[in-house]
Amino acid sequence: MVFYINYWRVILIKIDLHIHSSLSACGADEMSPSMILKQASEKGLNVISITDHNAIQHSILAYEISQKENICVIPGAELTSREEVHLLAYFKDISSLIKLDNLVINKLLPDIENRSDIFGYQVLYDYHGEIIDLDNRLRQAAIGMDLEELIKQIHRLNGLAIPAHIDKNRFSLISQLGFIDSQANFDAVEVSKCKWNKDGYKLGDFLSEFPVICGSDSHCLDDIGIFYMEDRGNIISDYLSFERYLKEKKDENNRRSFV
Amino acid sequence: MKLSQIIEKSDLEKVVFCSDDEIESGYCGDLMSDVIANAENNSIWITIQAHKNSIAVALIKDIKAIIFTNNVELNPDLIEKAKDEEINLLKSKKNSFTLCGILYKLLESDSNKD
Repeated sequence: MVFYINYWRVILIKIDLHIHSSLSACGADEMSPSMILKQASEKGLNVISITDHNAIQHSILAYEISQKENICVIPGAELTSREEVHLLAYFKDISSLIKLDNLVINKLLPDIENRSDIFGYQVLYDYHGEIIDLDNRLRQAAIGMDLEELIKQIHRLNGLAIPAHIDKNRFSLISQLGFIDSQANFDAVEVSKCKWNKDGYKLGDFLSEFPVICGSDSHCLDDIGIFYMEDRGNIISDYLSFERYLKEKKDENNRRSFV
Repeated sequence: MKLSQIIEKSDLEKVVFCSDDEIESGYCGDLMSDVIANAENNSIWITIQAHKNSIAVALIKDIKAIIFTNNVELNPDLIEKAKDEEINLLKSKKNSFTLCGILYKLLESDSNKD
């Protein structure tokens, strides 16, 4: 029986690539990278990503903490394009994420001060889970670069570009731009939990021409672990396997459309 | 009112001009989902959302012309697509509020004449 449970654990990978930390104004203030990792581990998640709005520090921190833990953290962020479309970006290593911050976020996010009374605090933690500062730049604003160019920039840094919660009625591909352009250069599309469950999606399915994924979009600790994608084939264990998986899916779709 | 008259009277820059259509109404919005739901046929659409999907939205809704306000930058893809699909593209240095005011007055006085 023990063997059976262990075996079952091994073949079912639990993935959640959309979690906000306290650095997102909308994320709960106690969402430090160390607490998120602790909670995710307790809930049995295997692969996660912290994707704050136009901010990278906590994603980097989580990646560093994860090095001595039994959980994989993929460096990532949730960017806001000029059209106000939310776009998830994932990278193999933190240096690419830092480059994205230097080249795009820092340069092109308007330098406006966050109003914490309206949007909430953007709390910065350190490695040990102590508060070190408040980030005062308004991260909810849009980066002055259009969606297509943002995607190109992410690809130049060898990352993955995935429009977030495309079915939502705000800040989504469909709310802002009307429909999915099947020629677009997305590596996948993310749908909301609600749509994922309602339409019965599972890992490996397509929406339009793209592989479809889903993240919890957690904003507080209690949200973590309630939703995750199940990888029953034991395919996705880190960034590289995720990237390879999406590429294979895309090729599969291209072959399918040629038939 | 004819599109050419609107262009002249509200000081618009022609980016793509393919047909001098009769404009009956207008709509202003930057969310394409909203424009798809609410714009009327034979209308002129005022927006800052310079993305090539806007051409498809114009086709779906039978919008005759799109005016991009605030002097937004238009990428060549968008202009090419408008030429292919024969959608008039115009540009204005004014913001959407000011331009809507001007166009509203124009179309209103035109319909009073009839």
